[in-house]
Order: sequence, then C-alpha cells, then structure tokens
Amino acid sequence: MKEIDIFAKRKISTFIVLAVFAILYVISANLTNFGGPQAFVAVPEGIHWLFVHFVPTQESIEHFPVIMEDLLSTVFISVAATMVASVLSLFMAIIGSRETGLNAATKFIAKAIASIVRNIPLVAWSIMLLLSFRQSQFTGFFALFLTTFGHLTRAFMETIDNTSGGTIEALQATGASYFHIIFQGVIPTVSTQMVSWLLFMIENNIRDATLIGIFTGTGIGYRFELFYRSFRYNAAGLVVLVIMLVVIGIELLSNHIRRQIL
Amino acid sequence: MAQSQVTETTVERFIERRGEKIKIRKWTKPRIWLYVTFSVLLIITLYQLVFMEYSRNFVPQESFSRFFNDLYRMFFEPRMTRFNLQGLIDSILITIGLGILTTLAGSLIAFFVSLGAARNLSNRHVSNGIRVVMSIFRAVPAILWVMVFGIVVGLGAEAAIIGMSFHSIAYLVKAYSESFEELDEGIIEALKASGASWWQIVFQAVLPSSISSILSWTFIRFEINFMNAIAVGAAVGAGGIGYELFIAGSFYSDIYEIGVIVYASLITAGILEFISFQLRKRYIVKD
Amino acid sequence: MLTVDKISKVYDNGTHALEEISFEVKEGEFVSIIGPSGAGKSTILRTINRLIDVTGGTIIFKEEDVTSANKKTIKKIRTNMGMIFQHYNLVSRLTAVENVLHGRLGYKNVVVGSLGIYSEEEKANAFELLDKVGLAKFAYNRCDQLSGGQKQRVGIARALMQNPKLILCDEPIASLDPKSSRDVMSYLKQISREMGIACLVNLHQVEIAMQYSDRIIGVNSGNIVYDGHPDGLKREIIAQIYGDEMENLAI
Repeated sequence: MKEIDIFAKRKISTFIVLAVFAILYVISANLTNFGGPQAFVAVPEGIHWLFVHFVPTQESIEHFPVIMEDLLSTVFISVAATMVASVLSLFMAIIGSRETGLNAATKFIAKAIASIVRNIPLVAWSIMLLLSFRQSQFTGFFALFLTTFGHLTRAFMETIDNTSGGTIEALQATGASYFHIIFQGVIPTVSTQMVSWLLFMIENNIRDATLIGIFTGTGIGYRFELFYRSFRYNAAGLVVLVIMLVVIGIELLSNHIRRQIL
Repeated sequence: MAQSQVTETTVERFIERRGEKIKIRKWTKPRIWLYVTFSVLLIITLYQLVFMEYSRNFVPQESFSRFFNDLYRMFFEPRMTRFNLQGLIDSILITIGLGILTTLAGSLIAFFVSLGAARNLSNRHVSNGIRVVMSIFRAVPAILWVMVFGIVVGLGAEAAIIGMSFHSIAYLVKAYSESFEELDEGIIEALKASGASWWQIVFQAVLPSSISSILSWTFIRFEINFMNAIAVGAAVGAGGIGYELFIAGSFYSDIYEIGVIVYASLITAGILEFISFQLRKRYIVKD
Repeated sequence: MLTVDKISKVYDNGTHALEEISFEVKEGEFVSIIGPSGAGKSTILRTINRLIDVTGGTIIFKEEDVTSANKKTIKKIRTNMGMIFQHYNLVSRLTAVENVLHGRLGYKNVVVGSLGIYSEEEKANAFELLDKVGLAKFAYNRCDQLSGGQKQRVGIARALMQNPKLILCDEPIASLDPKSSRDVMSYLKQISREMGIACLVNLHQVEIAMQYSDRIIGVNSGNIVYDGHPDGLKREIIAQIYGDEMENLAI
C-alpha cells in the first residue's frame, strides 16, 4: 500500500507544479500581450543577426576609435563610482555593523539607509537624477555611486561581522582603543575580501553603465543606441562585440587578481 | 619595559632592516598585487573625478539643491497624477508578468542545458564548453540582448522576454548545475549499475533530489528578473512599471509620480525578497 | 594580586552563568580552571578583564576595582592583563611580529597606534619575545601560514608584549594536537615561573591541569566545587565537578 502512495504522491505533486507553471504562463502572456512560444523562433534569427553583424566591416571599423573612447569612459566611470562609494560604504559599515557599530541608533540608521538606497532600482535613480543633473556623464556616475554604495555597505557589514569578531576581542583585551582596533585589527582582516567586492562591483557596474548610458546620453550604451536608431547595424554589432570582449577580459583579470592577493 | 637592551646576537640574525630601522613586514607577492591593484584603481578614479563631464551650464548649488529637494518630494510627497491605484497595480502586474515569462523560459531551457553542464552528469568537454557559452551570454548586457532581438521581432514584450532570458539561462545553469553536482555520487552509480538509461537517471533520481533547490533558485531569479523588467521596460518601452517610470520622469518630469512608482517597486520587491528569503532558509541552506 | 569576590552573572535570557564565585590568585601563581562545557569557565575569565560585565560582586586587580572602573581605567587595567584564546584571534594577513606588536597598542595614543608606528625598542622587544617562544625565524611569516601551535605561541608573545602581571587563557589548547598542546603548556609554565606572571587557564583536560598547575579550581554550573592543590583532586571530586561527562574525560 505504502509504495503506491509514494508514487501517487509524486505524480500529484509533479502535476501541481506543471499546472502552476501553466497557469502562470497563461496569465502572464495575457497581461503582457506575449505572442506565444512561436516568438522563440526569433532566437535563431537573432543569433544569426549577431554573427553577421559581429564581423567588422570596412565601414564599422571606421567607428572603432569613437567606440573605444566611449568604452574607456564607461569603464572609468564604473571604477570611479565604485571607489568613491567604497569609501562612504566602509565608513557606514564600520559605524553600523554588529561588531564595530557605535550604538543601536547608528546601526539601525546605517542599515536602513543602505537598504533603501540599494532597493531603489538603478533605473529609478537614473531617471530621478536626470531631473537635477540633466544628461551628462556625472548623472551616470552619481546613479552608479548610489546603488554601489547601497550594495557595498551591506557587503562590508557582512564581512566585518563574519570575520573580525575574534580579533576585536583580542585587541580589546590588550587595552587598545576603538580606533586602534579598527585600523590595526578590523581593516587588515577584511581588506582582501573588500577588494574582492570592489572588483565584483566594478564588473557589474560596467554592464549596468551600458544600460544607464542610454538614459544619460553618455558612454557606450548611448553610442550603441545612436547606431541602433540610425540603422547602422554593423557598427552596432561592433559595439556589442567590443563590450563582450572587454567584459570577459575584465572578468578574467579580476579573477586573476583575486587569486594573487589571497 | 624591563627587557634587555636593543639587540642580542641570537635574535639579531632573524631581524631584517631597512637602513637603521627594523622592518616588521615584507613585500610579498600578495601584498604587492594588493597595493598595485588599489593604486591603479585610485589613479583611474582621480583622473575621472578631475575630468568628469557635467551638463552644459552646470551650476553645482542649483543641481544639488534640486537633487535634495527631489529626494524629499519623492519620499515624502508621492502623488499619482496620470493613473489611479488600479492602473498602478495593472502596471506592476505587467512587469511581474514579464518577469514570470522570462523566468519560465529561462528555467526550462536552463534545466536541460545544466544537465550538460554538471560535471557528474556529462563529460568534461561539454561541461566546459557550456560554461564558456554561458560566460558569453552574461558578458553582453541584458539591454543589448533585448535591443538586438528588437530588430528581429520589434521592440515589445517578446523582445524583452527573449533578451532577458539569456542572463536568466546563464544564472540558472550555474545554480542548477551546482545543485546537481552536490548529489550523492552513489545514487547515480547505483542506477547506472542497474542498467538505467541516462534520461531515466535524470528524471528518477536527479530531478526529485534537487527539485526543492531548483525551485528556490528559480524564484530567486524571478526576483532579479522583476527588477530587470523594470529597467528594460524603461529603456525600450516594453510596458509595465518601468515604462511608466520613464514616462513620468523623462516625459513629464513629475517627481511626485516617480515617488509613487519607486514606493510601488520597493514594496513589491520587498514582498518578493521576503518570500525568497523564506525559501532560501528552508531549502537552500544545506543540511 | 587578583581577588574575585562573590561575582554573579545572569544573562539577559535568564541564564544564571555564575553564582557568587570567589577566589584569589597570587603573583606568579599558575591556576587552572576545569569543568564541563557551559559551567561558566569562559564567563569567569571574561569578567576579569570586563569583556563581560558582572551582575553582582566585585573584582579587585592590583588594588584597582575592575567592576566599577570607568572606560579609561578599564583600558589601563587591561594593559596589565594579557589574554590568549582558543582560536588564537590573530590578524591572519599580518606577519607574526606585527601581531606581537599589537600587544603594545594599549600603551600608545590613538594616532600613533592606529598608524602602526612602533619604536625600534618595541620592535626589538617583539623579536625577543618571539625568540622566547621559539618562533624568531617565523617572525616575517604571515600568520595564516603558521600551524595551530605556532599561532598560539604568537598569541602568547603578544600577551607578553604588554608586560602583564596576569595572563588569562581561554581554552588555549582545545584546538591543538597533543604534542602542540604540551609545547604551549610548557611555554606558559616556563614563562610564568621565569617572569613571575600569574596565569589563569581554562582547560578541558584534567590531566594536563594537574600536571602544570600550582592550584586547580573546579567549576560546575556556575559554582566553585573545588579550590586547591592538584594532589587533592581525587576521583570523587572530579566526578563531582564533571557529573555525567566523566566518561568523556579519559583519565
């Protein structure tokens, strides 16, 4: 009797899961005016497009210098936003973490601010910043700075709380002051992990910067849109290729760096 | 200090000095890499800060005071002008719908691909090859995927979903294949020994054992896809709350309405995060 | 030198960790505290340098009242007490000698200490101390490259850097293999004898406690059950201290 029950139970739960998926599909397709799975036929077409247009042509190579310029600017913005954010995040994380926080108030406020800033979508920040700072490189920088600050503060707090408890206790026992403990104990302990987070955020920001470049009218995202809207698809394809290579390159580089500084 | 005078010959041979001063650290490879990396990043940052481009006729006081004002109005004076609560909820539902469809497509495809990516279920070359392809998927920003497919099917829900699927697939393939790799080797061996075919092993052993972790990862990805759908909706007009955000901001410059939309997405994201936290706690924190 | 007078500790969740514990430690004495897990050994140690506050009773160290001291005085008191830990609590990325020098931070002002600026005398002293625990040739090694026993010896050198009158040892050998354990205990005993430093050591291993200590304090459920010479530690008394855990003791 028992055996049959197990199989029956398994069949029923499989059925339920499939049914849930099916219902979700129908509702969502309706809501979004999704054309149905036949849309996925477009995938091979799209991949084909990519391959065709990735091949640099005489005409698209002309655009290469300006593409590289934009790409460099995008990378620099990502780095700068991450680094500036990390300074503020480190400060917030120190005064707000469980182990090194000053008091209950600073801990709560630091966590709350980081949480709110982090959970507002990057797009929302960009659009909001456009109102005050208009389309400019700074707008993109500032938007990236804000979301990076939100994410890094939480990341740093976690790292501090997870790794420095023992060191803090030991230095307290020697009679060292709060600042001694922070600079001679906590910071050396978390430095490797922090650099790892920095590299991670820089990688992420380069991809996000492409997106917000479209809104702020600067950087490689905007360059892509220009080509796109003017139907210069060869140039657009070149942009995608270049971005892809740079992102992969940076990923490999930062993995290498991580291994070296361990 | 009641210790003896500065040096004793026995200890002296271990001490290294820079001139007269005793050294207490050494320049090891990790340390050099750390300092070099940090310095390079610092230089780039300083360069960028000096040569930052601002908008034409940029007046810092004006812009920053406008920014802080906007911040205040966004959080404390949200107000809907172009739609009512029903319209807002409809928009949110559309964005959720986009997220759901992306996740459904992504997880279905990822499931099969990850069978090839898992080292214990397939051979090394296939597995590595898949990982490389997944890296490529991830390297192209999602918005570009969407726009490329927009050329083929026109900019709208289809392009958005197909475009966003690429990152979904890459993420889920990694998550699923890692779950598969955690499976007890013995189970697979035992079934192989009894003569089961590969597909039978998959559906009778692999899938049931990892189903709960698969579902949890899928939900977590859905959360991420919801956020992506907002961004994509704003960039290419695929509808939903992202699109409304774009209209409210760049069309109408309506900070109050932006406030409403921000709150709406915060609340929705909060609800989703709560559910995913519960799922993670129950299913992914390994025994 | 150290007088612990009727200290009690009740945690926020209602746990009665210590019930009116009293004992004394004289200069240069080597005292072990033994007892089952959760008996309150760690709590006792941490109340002495006020990493944990007591809920009742007083602790006097070198005529200073630890329990009612203000922040500044506590720091001063702590500089005279060293502490070593079960998990060593070193900064892994820094070299052994840098970790030893951390023992001087209590004597330095905020700026100089935070920047890690030490005098030549202090640095030479650190090397001497590392030599004393047999680690001079590892001075420039990063601590994560050292074995457990070596890390603990760095910890001892760090404590000695403070020129303390008392060293608190919280389960110093619990994470070590038998040989390293004996090495560490030997160094502690030798230092205690040669430099006249009192040691208060939490231990699981009754055998080791009996071998090295001048005096043994047995604790169970927050109460002192025995306080005297190792020779007086008969089987019945050990049973009283450890209750059911006797079988796990391998005496």
